[in-house]
Amino acid sequence: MFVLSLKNVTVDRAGGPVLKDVSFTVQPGTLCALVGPNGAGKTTLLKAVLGLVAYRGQIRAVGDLGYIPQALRPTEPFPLTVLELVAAGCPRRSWWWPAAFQGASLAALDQVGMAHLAQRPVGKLSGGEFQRVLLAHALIAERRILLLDEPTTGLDSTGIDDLFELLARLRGDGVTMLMVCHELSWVTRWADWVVCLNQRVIAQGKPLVALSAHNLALAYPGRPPGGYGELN
Amino acid sequence: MANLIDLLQYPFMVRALLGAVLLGVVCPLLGTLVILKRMAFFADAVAHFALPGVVLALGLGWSVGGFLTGFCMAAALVILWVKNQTAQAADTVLGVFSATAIALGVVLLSWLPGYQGQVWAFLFGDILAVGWVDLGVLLGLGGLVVAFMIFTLQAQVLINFQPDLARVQGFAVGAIEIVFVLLLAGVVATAIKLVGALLVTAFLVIPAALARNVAKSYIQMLLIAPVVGVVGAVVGIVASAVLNTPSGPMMVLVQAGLFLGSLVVVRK
Repeated sequence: MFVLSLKNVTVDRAGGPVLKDVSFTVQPGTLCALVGPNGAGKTTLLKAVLGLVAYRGQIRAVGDLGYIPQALRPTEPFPLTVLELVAAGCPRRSWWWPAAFQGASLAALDQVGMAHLAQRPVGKLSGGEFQRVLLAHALIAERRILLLDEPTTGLDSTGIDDLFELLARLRGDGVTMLMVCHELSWVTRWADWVVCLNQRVIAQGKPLVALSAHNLALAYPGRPPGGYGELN
Repeated sequence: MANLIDLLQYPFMVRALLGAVLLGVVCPLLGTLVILKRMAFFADAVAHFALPGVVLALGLGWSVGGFLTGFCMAAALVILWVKNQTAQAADTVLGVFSATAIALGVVLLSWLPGYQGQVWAFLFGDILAVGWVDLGVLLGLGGLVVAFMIFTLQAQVLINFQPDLARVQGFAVGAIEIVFVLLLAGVVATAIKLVGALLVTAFLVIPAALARNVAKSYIQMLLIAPVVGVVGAVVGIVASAVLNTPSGPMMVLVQAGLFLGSLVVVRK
């Protein structure tokens, strides 16, 4: 049984293939981590699953997909409140959306512990708060499969811990997650399944199996032995 | 005050004030999207195409108003397409188009016989010469802009924040962008007659920029921008009548003064 299945997925660009014959499945209620070096095709793979880039092969998703993009917190004055952003994610449409979907928005924000910041401008959130708001944005749409693109970017180790604890709670509620992540030690601790990618699938399996020294050397060519931090 | 009441006895002044109010609502509403999308120079580039547009219409003997709107819309679509196709920075592409438009206009103008005063009128505009037909067109465009804002507001939040989020939500991002640039070109082409090609961008950008300075939410920004636009336009036109100065530049100066004031009051 799976909620997400990729079979021989290939994405071509002008300079050559970005992804070649990628196949794996994601089981329901699990956290699947997608790891690999920069340029490995991780974000492209998420976009292929979302239908944002053209691909060859087969992708099947059982349920609606939510997306947490690799978004940097807006630094310039962007007069958008947390509530307005989350409410805009509601699958229903309203021209006066913040008021129309206020209840659902606050409930989604409550799920990620952010209801008290509903009226704060998005630009004034910390990196960790911002990632939680993006999660609430996906949750208000009641998406049961979340695709997260490097949600730990810009977070310190405490922020990463907090985020993974929140993701684990969502997993406990039955939410399935496919997450691009560079933090291998956290992946080892929290992920149920790991897909090691570098244009093609190098390895997949339980974290300690997929992230063996041999597989990491294949996935991250040129990186010095022991260059994977505390993992090794 | 007596002078002001006297001025309102003149039908051209009443039309000018109505035009100022309409401009003050329509341009800043669209302007909120212009600045959030960082498209101020896009509007400017489209406005530059007014020069070759007017010259072509005069040369072909066609009605300037209708032709100019179509010409600016076509130019906007071409600029958008090129901007989306190239790896060059947006301001580079817009700089190329702005300069090309002016150069094309001047070359075309050199081929027209005699003095073409109408061309200069379009460059600098004259709100006191606005007619009822112009006001009707502006009102109709204003209705379209308001309808567009209402129907796409929820999508615009996501498009301006992170376009892929809007696509995943099922919003037709590409179609919304095309309708937006067509409306923008239509408003620019119509407003040029009132305030001139050189100053029309100010009406789009300044009230919206002020609103962004003071607003604490997106909704507040949408409500504040048209209020600033109307106040700036009406005060400006009255000041121009009292001081006997050109009306378009006076309206822009008042709006700019309000903007600078907001920078002093609100420090982020």
